[in-house]
Amino acid sequence: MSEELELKKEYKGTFAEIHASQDLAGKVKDIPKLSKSEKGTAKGQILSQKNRVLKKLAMVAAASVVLIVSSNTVLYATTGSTWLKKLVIISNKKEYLVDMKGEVKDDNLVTYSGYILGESGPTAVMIVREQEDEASPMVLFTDLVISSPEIVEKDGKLYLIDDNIKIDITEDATDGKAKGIYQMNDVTYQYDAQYVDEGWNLKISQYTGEK
Amino acid sequence: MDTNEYERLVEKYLDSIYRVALNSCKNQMDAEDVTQSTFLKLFESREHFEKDENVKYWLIRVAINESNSLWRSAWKKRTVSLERILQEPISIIPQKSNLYYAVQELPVKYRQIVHLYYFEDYSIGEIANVLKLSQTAVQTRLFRARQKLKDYLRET
Repeated sequence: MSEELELKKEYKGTFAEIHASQDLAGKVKDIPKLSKSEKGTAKGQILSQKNRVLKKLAMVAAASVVLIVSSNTVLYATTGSTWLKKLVIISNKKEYLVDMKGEVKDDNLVTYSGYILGESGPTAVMIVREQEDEASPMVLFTDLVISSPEIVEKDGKLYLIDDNIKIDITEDATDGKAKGIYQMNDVTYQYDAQYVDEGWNLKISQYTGEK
Repeated sequence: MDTNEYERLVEKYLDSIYRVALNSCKNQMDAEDVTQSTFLKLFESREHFEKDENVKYWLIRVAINESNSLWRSAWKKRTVSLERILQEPISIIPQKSNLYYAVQELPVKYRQIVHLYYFEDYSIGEIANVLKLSQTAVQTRLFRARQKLKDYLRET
């Protein structure tokens, strides 16, 4: 048998073993039973940010593979609040003391974001938990796909930094404003920055082609 | 769509669509979300399908589009999949997991092509149509994917 046919045979054999769960099958089969309004809700729930995060929390807690973070977190901060905190993060059996930015997002979720400087370079980390009490489990997400973008001034030049890219936007900036587009991970984004109160306000959105 | 017809199609294609979704999403939770979204769209669709093969083709296209949309969403940008061990789909056979992991190591643009070619037996032309790529792009990516798979399997 040729190498190609062998690969095909092995591929089919491997992936034929994968099946949708009974729970998923039940949900999909029940779609016709949903009323019109429920379908809208179901659609929203399918894409709900909170449900996705909470499902991950439950999944990780059940799997008991969560990396434990030792800290005391701020309780009952208002939505939109941000603060800095040093947290101990254990990743791959190593301890890191990390400066993390904490903030309260919608739906009562507290997130911490920062970077571990590991052997293979900086790795972004994020911790998410429900804002209940100090005993609630914290879930560590590592290897973030994209970090928070920011504008940085250095040596008289202006840079937009996002994940692993750094773009010189000096020439796009005039009178404390800068606008433009850039590519990252096969997606085109547009940025709109304004210098306000000794800092840059930066808005990033997916580029739609509209000017 | 008629409920009986819908149920028949779910029985027939649920696993296929779930596999496509899992292949594109790399984690079970997102794959389940995509699968649900895809079948919801099927039920609500007013498309007229002449034969079941057309339905499957449509479902696969929708599932891939849904997966790509999920990946690009603002939230997804700031979250990550958990460690691979937490994302094991049901019924994976350990002795075959080398190939499974090798495929999961591929970038998504290669994984989708590999799955449609090796599992769904789609032609280069059909894959190009589903993924909205040129046939040359599909051939190139398939070639590169094969090389990466061979390299990875050789190392493990």
